[in-house]
Amino acid sequence: MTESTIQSGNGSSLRVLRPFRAGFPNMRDYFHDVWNRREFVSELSRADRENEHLDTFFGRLWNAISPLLSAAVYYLFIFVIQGGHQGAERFLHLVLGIFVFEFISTAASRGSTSIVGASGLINNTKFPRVLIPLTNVLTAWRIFLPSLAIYAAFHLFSGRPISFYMLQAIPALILILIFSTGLALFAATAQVYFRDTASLMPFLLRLIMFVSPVLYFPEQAKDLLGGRFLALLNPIFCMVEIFSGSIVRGSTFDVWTWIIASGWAFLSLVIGFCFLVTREGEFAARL
Amino acid sequence: MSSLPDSKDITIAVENLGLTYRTRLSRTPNIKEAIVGFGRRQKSVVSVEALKGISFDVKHGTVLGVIGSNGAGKSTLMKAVAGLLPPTHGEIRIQGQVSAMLSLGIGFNPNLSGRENVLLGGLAAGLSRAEIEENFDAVVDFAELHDHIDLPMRTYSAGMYSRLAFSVSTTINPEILVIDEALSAGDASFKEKSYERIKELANQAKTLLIVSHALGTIQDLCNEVLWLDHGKIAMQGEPEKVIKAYTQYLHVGDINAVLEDF
Repeated sequence: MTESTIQSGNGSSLRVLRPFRAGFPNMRDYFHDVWNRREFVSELSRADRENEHLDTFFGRLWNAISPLLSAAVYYLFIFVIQGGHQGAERFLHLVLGIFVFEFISTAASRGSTSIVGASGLINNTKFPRVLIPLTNVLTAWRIFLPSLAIYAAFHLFSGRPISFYMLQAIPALILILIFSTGLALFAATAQVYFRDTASLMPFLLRLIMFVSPVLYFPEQAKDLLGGRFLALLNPIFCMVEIFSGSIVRGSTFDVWTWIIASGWAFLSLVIGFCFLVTREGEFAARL
Repeated sequence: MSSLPDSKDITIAVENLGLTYRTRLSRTPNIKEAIVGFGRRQKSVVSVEALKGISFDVKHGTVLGVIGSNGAGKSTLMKAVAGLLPPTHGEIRIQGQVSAMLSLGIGFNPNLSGRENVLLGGLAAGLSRAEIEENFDAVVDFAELHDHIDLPMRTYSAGMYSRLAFSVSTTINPEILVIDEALSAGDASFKEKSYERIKELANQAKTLLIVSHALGTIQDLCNEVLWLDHGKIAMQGEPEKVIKAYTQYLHVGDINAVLEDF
């Protein structure tokens, strides 16, 4: 709704609900409402997490156990079955890649079911719908952060150096966060119209993982497919390359790698956000 | 253009409101539907013109009953006033905070406790944590849920759900309250209590919109009734007059049969 809030004489506010202009609500009011409800996002994420794993023996420890188990499984597959120990560098790259991929994957898969799952709230209360998938990105982020500490332990234990170039991982991680947010917003909206989205999501994510420098080093993939082909087509290739490469090897990256990574991140956010916001007026009729 | 801002006693001004929404024929859209439907060249999405350019004003302290057959656009009108569905054309001007109780109970997440649900519902509606905590005891008192408020809501009965929903939406300072078909839930004594609360709110010059098929309830509580038919206003005015015309329209000979609450 295009909606202007003005303070009237008797202290209560006047709101005017009008048709969306070109599919978009009034963006100033929209962001204002989002900002005002930031405590809702934080609180909902906390409540969601507290109620998960309540009935399992390890409880919230699962947030640390599951990325470790994935790393162990892939370690077994790549190093043991494919033969030969290939050094600490490769192991660290694998662990870090899987941790950051788990973040993207958790944000996207939780995001995809988030709006349909919140139909009760959506049918009763007016608030910017973008908050629901954002909550799930925040939850994925909160699950991810401790796994960085696990990585740090591995890194120190392996005796790898700590380099100044590691700082590049911070902007790379921000790009990964931006990309994941866009993906979560897109998937959450798509799920409203196409309820198979959430079921397709694991396969899409697995595909993205196999074409990303997680199980192998980026240069191996580039050899395979020639130049930047894969890096251009796979949205997360460059982000993961920078994030992992700067931490594990202390590498630097050319400007194109940064441009491709940033391009995909912001494209994802813009598409996901526009898709959700132009459709959210229908949610209360669709759910 | 609009009659609102100059006349201070009008809370809701609806002007030439039209609302068309697209919806699916099947309950849950999926890939099979899409393929089969495409093969048969079926249209899986239909446009529903729920409201066809209606205009009316609601004054402070009015308890407006909205009646009409199924599919008349009552719920759509309530959703539009609550801000859940944007108008397709026209506009709604609202003076004050709207609190809505539209789809009973299910505004809540069943795995979380009553306490968490009240907090989250309030935060989503834009209230501050302090406002919610200040009113929390009053909400629990009115809903009579002292023993259950910290249990997951999946353990609640339907009546408990509706008591909590009603209590939340009426306790935390609403200026405008929109209630859709929710009054029939809960036992007789709670119903009595909720009527009292509605009358109390009306006396404080709050504005209420109530949708119900229970014409007896509408007649008891409302001081004005709006009859919607096929997305248009068929009649608006004094409860007795409108309800009488509506029952005649329905060809229900005996008015008492429709005045029963069921």
